[in-house]
Amino acid sequence: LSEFLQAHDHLSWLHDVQVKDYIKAQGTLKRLSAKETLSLAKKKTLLSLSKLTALACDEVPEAELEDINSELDVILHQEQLPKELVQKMELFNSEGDLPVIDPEQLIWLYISEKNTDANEFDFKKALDLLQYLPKDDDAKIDHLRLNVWCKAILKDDWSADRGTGVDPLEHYEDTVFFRTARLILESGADLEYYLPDVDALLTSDELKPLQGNANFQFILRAGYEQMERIVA
Amino acid sequence: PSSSLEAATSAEDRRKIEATDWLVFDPAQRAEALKQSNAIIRTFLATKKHDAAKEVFRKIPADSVDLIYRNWQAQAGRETLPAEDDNAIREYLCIQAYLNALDSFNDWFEHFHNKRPAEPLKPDNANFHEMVRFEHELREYELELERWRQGLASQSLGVKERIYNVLQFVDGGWMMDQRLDGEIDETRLQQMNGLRGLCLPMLCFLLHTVLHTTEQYRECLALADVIASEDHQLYKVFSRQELRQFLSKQSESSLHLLNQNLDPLGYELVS
Repeated sequence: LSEFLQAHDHLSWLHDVQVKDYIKAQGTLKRLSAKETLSLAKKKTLLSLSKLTALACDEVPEAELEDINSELDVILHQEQLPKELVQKMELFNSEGDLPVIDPEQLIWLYISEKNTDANEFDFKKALDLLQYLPKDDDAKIDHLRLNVWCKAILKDDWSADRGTGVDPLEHYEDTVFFRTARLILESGADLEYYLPDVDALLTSDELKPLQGNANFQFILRAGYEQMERIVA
Repeated sequence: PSSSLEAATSAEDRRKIEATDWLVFDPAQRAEALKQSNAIIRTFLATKKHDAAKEVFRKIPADSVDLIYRNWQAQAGRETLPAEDDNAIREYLCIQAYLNALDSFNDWFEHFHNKRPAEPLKPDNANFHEMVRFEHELREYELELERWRQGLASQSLGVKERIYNVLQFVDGGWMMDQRLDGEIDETRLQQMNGLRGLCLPMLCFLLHTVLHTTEQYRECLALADVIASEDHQLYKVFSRQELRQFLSKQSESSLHLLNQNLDPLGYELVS
Protein backbone atom coordinates (compact mmCIF):
# COMPACT_ATOMS: atom_id res chain seq x y z
CA LEU A 1 0.00 0.00 0.00
CA SER A 2 2.71 2.48 0.96
CA GLU A 3 4.46 2.14 -2.39
CA PHE A 4 1.21 2.74 -4.17
CA LEU A 5 0.46 5.80 -2.02
CA GLN A 6 3.89 7.26 -2.65
CA ALA A 7 3.50 6.97 -6.39
CA HIS A 8 0.46 9.23 -6.40
CA ASP A 9 0.75 12.84 -5.31
CA HIS A 10 -2.89 13.12 -4.30
CA LEU A 11 -2.47 10.11 -2.01
CA SER A 12 1.12 10.34 -0.84
CA TRP A 13 0.33 12.82 1.95
CA LEU A 14 -1.82 10.16 3.60
CA HIS A 15 1.20 7.92 3.79
CA ASP A 16 3.37 10.81 5.03
CA VAL A 17 0.91 11.51 7.84
CA GLN A 18 0.95 7.82 8.80
CA VAL A 19 4.75 7.76 8.97
CA LYS A 20 4.83 11.18 10.68
CA ASP A 21 6.67 12.97 7.88
CA TYR A 22 4.61 16.11 8.40
CA ILE A 23 6.84 18.50 6.48
CA LYS A 24 6.52 16.37 3.36
CA ALA A 25 2.76 16.01 3.78
CA GLN A 26 2.50 19.78 4.23
CA GLY A 27 4.36 20.48 0.98
CA THR A 28 2.28 18.00 -0.99
CA LEU A 29 -1.01 19.32 0.38
CA LYS A 30 -0.04 22.89 -0.48
CA ARG A 31 0.95 21.86 -3.99
CA LEU A 32 -2.37 20.08 -4.42
CA SER A 33 -4.25 23.13 -3.19
CA ALA A 34 -2.47 25.32 -5.74
CA LYS A 35 -3.62 23.01 -8.52
CA GLU A 36 -7.23 22.90 -7.34
CA THR A 37 -9.47 25.17 -9.42
CA LEU A 38 -12.77 23.30 -9.65
CA SER A 39 -13.88 23.33 -6.04
CA LEU A 40 -13.41 26.12 -3.51
CA ALA A 41 -14.41 23.82 -0.64
CA LYS A 42 -11.84 21.23 -1.63
CA LYS A 43 -9.11 23.83 -2.04
CA LYS A 44 -9.96 25.15 1.41
CA THR A 45 -9.71 21.72 3.03
CA LEU A 46 -6.40 21.01 1.28
CA LEU A 47 -5.04 24.31 2.61
CA SER A 48 -6.45 23.68 6.08
CA LEU A 49 -4.83 20.24 6.19
CA SER A 50 -1.61 21.80 4.95
CA LYS A 51 -1.82 24.29 7.80
CA LEU A 52 -2.45 21.58 10.41
CA THR A 53 0.42 19.45 9.10
CA ALA A 54 2.66 22.53 9.20
CA LEU A 55 1.69 23.04 12.85
CA ALA A 56 2.35 19.36 13.57
CA CYS A 57 5.99 19.67 12.43
CA ASP A 58 8.74 19.63 15.05
CA GLU A 59 9.86 22.95 13.63
CA VAL A 60 6.91 24.87 12.29
CA PRO A 61 7.71 26.30 8.83
CA GLU A 62 6.64 29.88 9.54
CA ALA A 63 6.97 31.20 5.98
CA GLU A 64 4.80 28.36 4.69
CA LEU A 65 2.25 29.09 7.38
CA GLU A 66 2.09 32.72 6.35
CA ASP A 67 1.57 31.69 2.72
CA ILE A 68 -1.21 29.32 3.67
CA ASN A 69 -2.94 31.96 5.78
CA SER A 70 -2.88 34.39 2.84
CA GLU A 71 -4.44 31.76 0.61
CA LEU A 72 -7.09 31.01 3.22
CA ASP A 73 -7.82 34.72 3.51
CA VAL A 74 -8.45 34.94 -0.24
CA ILE A 75 -10.85 32.00 0.10
CA LEU A 76 -12.62 33.79 2.94
CA HIS A 77 -13.07 36.80 0.64
CA GLN A 78 -14.64 34.54 -1.95
CA GLU A 79 -16.92 32.91 0.62
CA GLN A 80 -18.09 36.36 1.66
CA LEU A 81 -19.23 37.37 -1.83
CA PRO A 82 -22.85 38.55 -1.54
CA LYS A 83 -25.23 35.61 -2.13
CA GLU A 84 -27.34 37.57 -4.62
CA LEU A 85 -24.27 38.36 -6.69
CA VAL A 86 -23.13 34.73 -6.73
CA GLN A 87 -26.59 33.69 -7.90
CA LYS A 88 -26.87 36.44 -10.48
CA MET A 89 -23.49 35.56 -11.96
CA GLU A 90 -24.35 31.83 -11.83
CA LEU A 91 -21.04 31.03 -10.20
CA PHE A 92 -22.09 27.74 -8.60
CA ASN A 93 -20.95 24.55 -10.26
CA SER A 94 -23.07 21.44 -10.57
CA GLU A 95 -22.26 20.24 -7.05
CA GLY A 96 -23.46 23.44 -5.40
CA ASP A 97 -19.85 24.30 -4.78
CA LEU A 98 -17.96 27.32 -6.12
CA PRO A 99 -15.10 27.11 -8.57
CA VAL A 100 -11.96 28.89 -7.37
CA ILE A 101 -11.84 32.56 -8.35
CA ASP A 102 -8.49 34.39 -8.31
CA PRO A 103 -7.98 37.64 -6.35
CA GLU A 104 -8.14 39.88 -9.43
CA GLN A 105 -11.44 38.37 -10.54
CA LEU A 106 -12.76 38.68 -6.99
CA ILE A 107 -11.97 42.38 -7.02
CA TRP A 108 -13.89 42.82 -10.27
CA LEU A 109 -16.83 40.91 -8.81
CA TYR A 110 -16.96 42.97 -5.63
CA ILE A 111 -16.98 46.25 -7.56
CA SER A 112 -19.08 45.03 -10.47
CA GLU A 113 -22.31 46.86 -11.36
CA LYS A 114 -24.04 43.51 -10.85
CA ASN A 115 -23.22 43.87 -7.15
CA THR A 116 -26.07 46.33 -6.88
CA ASP A 117 -26.04 46.71 -3.10
CA ALA A 118 -22.28 47.16 -2.88
CA ASN A 119 -21.37 49.16 0.21
CA GLU A 120 -18.18 50.30 1.92
CA PHE A 121 -17.50 46.78 3.17
CA ASP A 122 -17.50 45.41 -0.38
CA PHE A 123 -15.14 48.13 -1.57
CA LYS A 124 -12.86 47.61 1.40
CA LYS A 125 -12.75 43.88 0.63
CA ALA A 126 -11.86 44.66 -2.98
CA LEU A 127 -9.00 46.85 -1.73
CA ASP A 128 -7.88 44.23 0.82
CA LEU A 129 -7.52 41.77 -2.04
CA LEU A 130 -4.94 43.97 -3.78
CA GLN A 131 -2.25 42.61 -1.45
CA TYR A 132 -2.76 39.13 -2.89
CA LEU A 133 -2.02 40.08 -6.49
CA PRO A 134 1.39 39.17 -7.92
CA LYS A 135 3.79 41.60 -6.24
CA ASP A 136 5.81 42.34 -9.38
CA ASP A 137 3.01 44.01 -11.30
CA ASP A 138 2.68 47.48 -9.77
CA ALA A 139 1.00 48.91 -12.87
CA LYS A 140 -1.81 46.39 -12.61
CA ILE A 141 -2.26 46.97 -8.89
CA ASP A 142 -2.41 50.75 -9.43
CA HIS A 143 -4.89 50.30 -12.23
CA LEU A 144 -7.14 48.06 -10.13
CA ARG A 145 -6.93 50.32 -7.10
CA LEU A 146 -7.98 53.28 -9.22
CA ASN A 147 -10.87 51.28 -10.61
CA VAL A 148 -12.14 50.31 -7.19
CA TRP A 149 -12.31 53.94 -6.09
CA CYS A 150 -13.89 55.10 -9.37
CA LYS A 151 -16.62 52.51 -8.92
CA ALA A 152 -17.07 53.57 -5.30
CA ILE A 153 -17.45 57.19 -6.37
CA LEU A 154 -19.92 56.30 -9.11
CA LYS A 155 -22.18 54.60 -6.54
CA ASP A 156 -23.43 58.05 -5.58
CA ASP A 157 -25.05 60.87 -7.52
CA TRP A 158 -22.74 63.86 -7.34
CA SER A 159 -24.77 66.17 -9.57
CA ALA A 160 -27.24 67.45 -7.02
CA ASP A 161 -26.40 70.39 -4.81
CA ARG A 162 -26.33 69.00 -1.27
CA GLY A 163 -26.07 72.40 0.34
CA THR A 164 -23.17 74.43 1.62
CA GLY A 165 -22.08 75.66 5.00
CA VAL A 166 -19.04 75.98 7.20
CA ASP A 167 -18.13 72.36 6.50
CA PRO A 168 -19.33 71.31 3.05
CA LEU A 169 -17.81 67.84 3.54
CA GLU A 170 -20.39 66.90 6.15
CA HIS A 171 -23.06 66.71 3.43
CA TYR A 172 -21.06 63.96 1.75
CA GLU A 173 -20.27 61.84 4.78
CA ASP A 174 -22.71 59.13 3.79
CA THR A 175 -21.40 58.64 0.26
CA VAL A 176 -19.85 55.24 -0.41
CA PHE A 177 -16.54 56.95 -1.15
CA PHE A 178 -16.27 58.64 2.24
CA ARG A 179 -17.71 55.67 4.13
CA THR A 180 -15.09 53.42 2.54
CA ALA A 181 -12.29 55.84 3.41
CA ARG A 182 -13.56 56.07 6.99
CA LEU A 183 -13.74 52.28 7.28
CA ILE A 184 -10.11 51.98 6.18
CA LEU A 185 -9.02 54.68 8.62
CA GLU A 186 -10.87 52.97 11.48
CA SER A 187 -9.39 49.57 10.63
CA GLY A 188 -5.94 51.04 11.14
CA ALA A 189 -4.88 50.03 7.63
CA ASP A 190 -2.32 52.05 5.69
CA LEU A 191 -4.45 54.69 3.96
CA GLU A 192 -1.62 55.72 1.69
CA TYR A 193 -1.48 52.23 0.26
CA TYR A 194 -5.22 52.05 -0.09
CA LEU A 195 -5.84 55.46 -1.68
CA PRO A 196 -4.80 56.29 -5.24
CA ASP A 197 -3.18 59.58 -6.19
CA VAL A 198 -5.88 62.28 -6.19
CA ASP A 199 -4.92 63.67 -9.60
CA ALA A 200 -4.86 60.22 -11.16
CA LEU A 201 -8.33 59.66 -9.74
CA LEU A 202 -9.79 62.95 -10.93
CA THR A 203 -8.38 62.63 -14.44
CA SER A 204 -9.28 58.95 -14.89
CA ASP A 205 -11.37 57.91 -17.90
CA GLU A 206 -13.98 56.33 -15.69
CA LEU A 207 -14.72 59.63 -13.99
CA LYS A 208 -14.84 61.71 -17.23
CA PRO A 209 -18.52 62.52 -16.69
CA LEU A 210 -17.57 64.18 -13.39
CA GLN A 211 -14.64 66.22 -14.71
CA GLY A 212 -16.84 69.21 -15.41
CA ASN A 213 -18.42 69.02 -11.97
CA ALA A 214 -16.52 71.67 -10.00
CA ASN A 215 -18.35 70.85 -6.80
CA PHE A 216 -17.32 67.19 -7.00
CA GLN A 217 -13.71 68.11 -7.74
CA PHE A 218 -13.68 70.45 -4.78
CA ILE A 219 -15.28 67.99 -2.37
CA LEU A 220 -12.94 65.18 -3.33
CA ARG A 221 -9.80 67.31 -2.95
CA ALA A 222 -11.09 68.64 0.37
CA GLY A 223 -11.77 65.06 1.47
CA TYR A 224 -8.22 64.01 0.57
CA GLU A 225 -6.78 66.95 2.50
CA GLN A 226 -8.83 66.07 5.53
CA MET A 227 -7.70 62.42 5.42
CA GLU A 228 -4.07 63.46 5.06
CA ARG A 229 -4.45 65.63 8.16
CA ILE A 230 -5.92 62.70 10.11
CA VAL A 231 -3.15 60.33 9.06
CA ALA A 232 -0.38 62.89 9.68
CA PRO B 1 -22.76 6.10 30.19
CA SER B 2 -19.41 6.77 28.48
CA SER B 3 -17.46 5.98 31.61
CA SER B 4 -14.06 6.70 30.09
CA LEU B 5 -15.08 10.36 29.96
CA GLU B 6 -16.30 10.43 33.53
CA ALA B 7 -14.58 10.62 36.93
CA ALA B 8 -16.46 9.63 40.10
CA THR B 9 -17.97 12.08 42.55
CA SER B 10 -16.31 12.01 46.01
CA ALA B 11 -17.72 12.93 49.42
CA GLU B 12 -15.81 16.21 49.28
CA ASP B 13 -17.39 16.96 45.88
CA ARG B 14 -20.79 16.16 47.36
CA ARG B 15 -20.21 18.87 49.99
CA LYS B 16 -19.42 21.42 47.28
CA ILE B 17 -22.51 20.42 45.33
CA GLU B 18 -24.75 20.75 48.40
CA ALA B 19 -23.21 24.14 49.19
CA THR B 20 -24.67 25.50 45.95
CA ASP B 21 -28.13 25.37 47.54
CA TRP B 22 -26.99 28.00 50.03
CA LEU B 23 -25.35 30.12 47.35
CA VAL B 24 -28.57 30.59 45.42
CA PHE B 25 -30.73 30.99 48.54
CA ASP B 26 -30.84 34.80 48.46
CA PRO B 27 -32.03 36.10 45.06
CA ALA B 28 -30.38 39.48 45.73
CA GLN B 29 -27.00 37.73 45.79
CA ARG B 30 -27.47 35.85 42.54
CA ALA B 31 -24.60 37.55 40.68
CA GLU B 32 -22.21 36.49 43.43
CA ALA B 33 -23.73 33.00 43.51
CA LEU B 34 -23.19 32.63 39.78
CA LYS B 35 -19.52 33.54 40.10
CA GLN B 36 -19.10 31.00 42.93
CA SER B 37 -20.94 28.21 41.14
CA ASN B 38 -18.99 28.91 37.94
CA ALA B 39 -15.79 28.49 39.96
CA ILE B 40 -16.99 25.17 41.42
CA ILE B 41 -17.98 23.90 37.99
CA ARG B 42 -14.61 24.95 36.56
CA THR B 43 -12.79 22.69 39.01
CA PHE B 44 -15.20 19.83 38.33
CA LEU B 45 -14.75 20.15 34.57
CA ALA B 46 -10.98 20.29 34.96
CA THR B 47 -11.09 16.90 36.69
CA LYS B 48 -13.65 15.46 34.23
CA LYS B 49 -16.32 15.24 36.93
CA HIS B 50 -19.08 16.03 34.49
CA ASP B 51 -21.89 14.54 36.56
CA ALA B 52 -20.88 16.69 39.52
CA ALA B 53 -20.63 19.76 37.24
CA LYS B 54 -24.12 19.03 35.91
CA GLU B 55 -25.52 18.73 39.43
CA VAL B 56 -24.19 22.13 40.37
CA PHE B 57 -25.40 23.63 37.11
CA ARG B 58 -28.91 22.29 37.68
CA LYS B 59 -29.07 23.99 41.06
CA ILE B 60 -28.77 27.43 39.42
CA PRO B 61 -32.36 28.57 38.81
CA ALA B 62 -33.05 29.03 35.11
CA ASP B 63 -34.10 32.67 35.53
CA SER B 64 -30.77 33.68 37.09
CA VAL B 65 -29.45 35.68 34.14
CA ASP B 66 -32.69 37.63 34.01
CA LEU B 67 -32.64 38.13 37.75
CA ILE B 68 -29.09 39.51 37.71
CA TYR B 69 -30.07 42.08 35.08
CA ARG B 70 -33.17 43.07 37.05
CA ASN B 71 -31.25 43.34 40.33
CA TRP B 72 -28.70 45.56 38.68
CA GLN B 73 -31.28 47.79 37.01
CA ALA B 74 -33.10 48.27 40.29
CA GLN B 75 -29.85 49.30 41.86
CA ALA B 76 -28.05 51.22 39.09
CA GLY B 77 -30.72 52.18 36.58
CA ARG B 78 -29.69 52.09 32.95
CA GLU B 79 -25.97 51.69 33.50
CA THR B 80 -24.39 48.60 31.91
CA LEU B 81 -23.74 45.55 34.06
CA PRO B 82 -20.36 45.44 35.88
CA ALA B 83 -17.76 43.62 33.74
CA GLU B 84 -17.37 40.81 36.32
CA ASP B 85 -21.11 40.05 36.27
CA ASP B 86 -21.26 40.24 32.49
CA ASN B 87 -18.33 37.84 32.19
CA ALA B 88 -19.85 35.47 34.76
CA ILE B 89 -23.09 35.32 32.75
CA ARG B 90 -21.18 34.57 29.58
CA GLU B 91 -19.19 31.89 31.38
CA TYR B 92 -22.44 30.35 32.66
CA LEU B 93 -23.71 30.19 29.05
CA CYS B 94 -20.42 28.62 27.93
CA ILE B 95 -20.78 25.95 30.61
CA GLN B 96 -24.37 25.33 29.53
CA ALA B 97 -23.32 24.89 25.89
CA TYR B 98 -20.57 22.47 26.91
CA LEU B 99 -22.79 20.35 29.16
CA ASN B 100 -25.42 20.23 26.40
CA ALA B 101 -22.79 19.03 23.93
CA LEU B 102 -21.63 16.28 26.30
CA ASP B 103 -25.21 15.21 27.04
CA SER B 104 -26.04 14.90 23.40
CA PHE B 105 -22.84 12.96 22.73
CA ASN B 106 -23.72 10.55 25.56
CA ASP B 107 -27.23 10.09 24.17
CA TRP B 108 -25.79 9.42 20.74
CA PHE B 109 -23.27 6.96 22.20
CA GLU B 110 -26.00 5.12 24.09
CA HIS B 111 -28.20 4.99 21.03
CA PHE B 112 -25.41 3.79 18.78
CA HIS B 113 -23.99 1.10 21.05
CA ASN B 114 -26.93 -0.10 23.10
CA LYS B 115 -30.11 0.60 21.21
CA ARG B 116 -29.36 -1.22 18.00
CA PRO B 117 -32.00 -3.97 17.55
CA ALA B 118 -30.72 -7.54 17.64
CA GLU B 119 -30.98 -9.54 14.47
CA PRO B 120 -33.14 -12.67 14.89
CA LEU B 121 -31.27 -15.95 14.43
CA LYS B 122 -32.48 -18.28 11.74
CA PRO B 123 -33.44 -21.53 13.49
CA ASP B 124 -31.70 -24.73 12.34
CA ASN B 125 -33.92 -27.46 10.88
CA ALA B 126 -36.96 -25.33 11.49
CA ASN B 127 -40.45 -26.63 11.05
CA PHE B 128 -43.10 -24.61 9.21
CA HIS B 129 -44.31 -22.73 12.30
CA GLU B 130 -40.80 -21.82 13.33
CA MET B 131 -40.05 -20.51 9.84
CA VAL B 132 -43.19 -18.36 9.82
CA ARG B 133 -42.28 -16.96 13.18
CA PHE B 134 -38.71 -16.30 12.07
CA GLU B 135 -39.85 -14.40 8.97
CA HIS B 136 -42.21 -12.35 11.06
CA GLU B 137 -39.38 -11.52 13.47
CA LEU B 138 -37.13 -10.63 10.54
CA ARG B 139 -39.66 -8.14 9.18
CA GLU B 140 -40.05 -6.63 12.64
CA TYR B 141 -36.30 -6.42 12.92
CA GLU B 142 -35.93 -4.63 9.60
CA LEU B 143 -38.53 -2.07 10.63
CA GLU B 144 -36.81 -1.59 13.97
CA LEU B 145 -33.44 -1.24 12.28
CA GLU B 146 -34.78 1.44 9.94
CA ARG B 147 -36.24 3.30 12.92
CA TRP B 148 -32.89 2.98 14.71
CA ARG B 149 -31.04 4.36 11.67
CA GLN B 150 -33.34 7.35 11.43
CA GLY B 151 -32.90 7.99 15.12
CA LEU B 152 -29.14 7.76 14.71
CA ALA B 153 -29.16 10.23 11.83
CA SER B 154 -31.15 12.79 13.77
CA GLN B 155 -29.06 12.29 16.91
CA SER B 156 -25.86 12.71 14.91
CA LEU B 157 -27.19 15.97 13.56
CA GLY B 158 -28.00 17.09 17.09
CA VAL B 159 -24.54 16.27 18.48
CA LYS B 160 -22.90 18.02 15.57
CA GLU B 161 -24.92 21.16 16.15
CA ARG B 162 -24.27 21.21 19.89
CA ILE B 163 -20.55 20.57 19.56
CA TYR B 164 -20.30 23.31 16.94
CA ASN B 165 -22.12 25.62 19.38
CA VAL B 166 -19.14 25.21 21.69
CA LEU B 167 -16.34 25.14 19.09
CA GLN B 168 -17.67 28.28 17.43
CA PHE B 169 -19.06 29.99 20.51
CA VAL B 170 -20.16 33.48 19.48
CA ASP B 171 -18.07 36.61 19.89
CA GLY B 172 -14.57 35.43 20.55
CA GLY B 173 -15.03 31.79 21.45
CA TRP B 174 -15.78 29.46 24.33
CA MET B 175 -14.61 30.49 27.81
CA MET B 176 -13.27 33.79 26.54
CA ASP B 177 -14.34 36.93 28.41
CA GLN B 178 -15.81 39.71 26.34
CA ARG B 179 -15.57 42.52 28.88
CA LEU B 180 -11.97 43.34 29.65
CA ASP B 181 -12.68 46.50 31.68
CA GLY B 182 -13.18 44.79 35.03
CA GLU B 183 -10.84 43.56 37.73
CA ILE B 184 -8.56 40.81 36.49
CA ASP B 185 -8.82 37.48 38.32
CA GLU B 186 -5.65 35.68 37.22
CA THR B 187 -6.63 32.30 38.67
CA ARG B 188 -9.99 32.39 36.94
CA LEU B 189 -8.44 33.29 33.57
CA GLN B 190 -5.88 30.51 33.94
CA GLN B 191 -8.57 27.98 34.73
CA MET B 192 -10.68 29.07 31.78
CA ASN B 193 -7.70 28.86 29.49
CA GLY B 194 -6.90 25.42 30.88
CA LEU B 195 -10.45 24.29 30.17
CA ARG B 196 -10.17 25.50 26.57
CA GLY B 197 -7.08 23.33 26.15
CA LEU B 198 -8.77 20.37 27.82
CA CYS B 199 -12.31 20.49 26.45
CA LEU B 200 -12.07 21.89 22.92
CA PRO B 201 -9.68 19.28 21.46
CA MET B 202 -11.71 16.58 23.19
CA LEU B 203 -14.91 17.83 21.57
CA CYS B 204 -13.17 17.85 18.18
CA PHE B 205 -12.22 14.21 18.72
CA LEU B 206 -15.75 13.32 19.83
CA LEU B 207 -17.19 15.05 16.77
CA HIS B 208 -14.78 13.15 14.56
CA THR B 209 -15.91 9.90 16.21
CA VAL B 210 -19.56 10.70 15.54
CA LEU B 211 -18.93 11.66 11.91
CA HIS B 212 -16.61 8.72 11.26
CA THR B 213 -18.87 6.14 12.91
CA THR B 214 -21.85 7.39 10.93
CA GLU B 215 -19.74 7.23 7.75
CA GLN B 216 -19.72 10.97 7.07
CA TYR B 217 -16.09 10.75 6.02
CA ARG B 218 -16.03 13.86 3.85
CA GLU B 219 -17.18 15.88 6.85
CA CYS B 220 -14.41 14.28 8.92
CA LEU B 221 -11.87 15.79 6.55
CA ALA B 222 -13.67 19.13 6.42
CA LEU B 223 -13.21 19.38 10.22
CA ALA B 224 -9.72 20.58 9.31
CA ASP B 225 -11.36 23.79 8.02
CA VAL B 226 -12.90 24.46 11.41
CA ILE B 227 -9.75 23.78 13.39
CA ALA B 228 -7.42 25.67 11.03
CA SER B 229 -9.68 28.73 10.75
CA GLU B 230 -8.27 32.04 11.99
CA ASP B 231 -11.79 32.95 13.08
CA HIS B 232 -11.75 30.87 16.25
CA GLN B 233 -8.10 29.74 16.11
CA LEU B 234 -8.94 26.34 17.55
CA TYR B 235 -5.60 24.97 16.36
CA LYS B 236 -4.01 27.01 19.13
CA VAL B 237 -5.65 24.94 21.87
CA PHE B 238 -4.28 21.70 20.42
CA SER B 239 -0.92 20.41 21.60
CA ARG B 240 1.37 19.19 18.84
CA GLN B 241 0.70 15.63 19.94
CA GLU B 242 -3.07 16.15 19.74
CA LEU B 243 -2.76 17.70 16.28
CA ARG B 244 -0.82 14.67 15.11
CA GLN B 245 -3.41 12.33 16.58
CA PHE B 246 -6.16 14.27 14.88
CA LEU B 247 -4.42 14.16 11.51
CA SER B 248 -3.97 10.43 11.91
CA LYS B 249 -7.72 10.04 12.61
CA GLN B 250 -8.48 12.10 9.54
CA SER B 251 -6.24 9.97 7.36
CA GLU B 252 -8.19 6.92 8.58
CA SER B 253 -11.37 8.60 7.35
CA SER B 254 -9.60 9.25 4.05
CA LEU B 255 -8.88 5.56 3.58
CA HIS B 256 -12.62 4.87 3.80
CA LEU B 257 -13.23 7.46 1.10
CA LEU B 258 -10.63 5.80 -1.13
CA ASN B 259 -12.51 2.53 -0.69
CA GLN B 260 -15.58 4.28 -2.07
CA ASN B 261 -13.57 5.26 -5.15
CA LEU B 262 -13.46 8.89 -4.12
CA ASP B 263 -10.39 11.04 -3.61
CA PRO B 264 -8.91 11.42 -0.07
CA LEU B 265 -11.19 14.37 0.68
CA GLY B 266 -14.33 12.67 -0.60
CA TYR B 267 -14.60 14.36 -3.99
CA GLU B 268 -15.02 12.64 -7.33
CA LEU B 269 -11.71 11.53 -8.77
CA VAL B 270 -10.58 13.62 -11.70
CA SER B 271 -8.33 11.73 -14.03
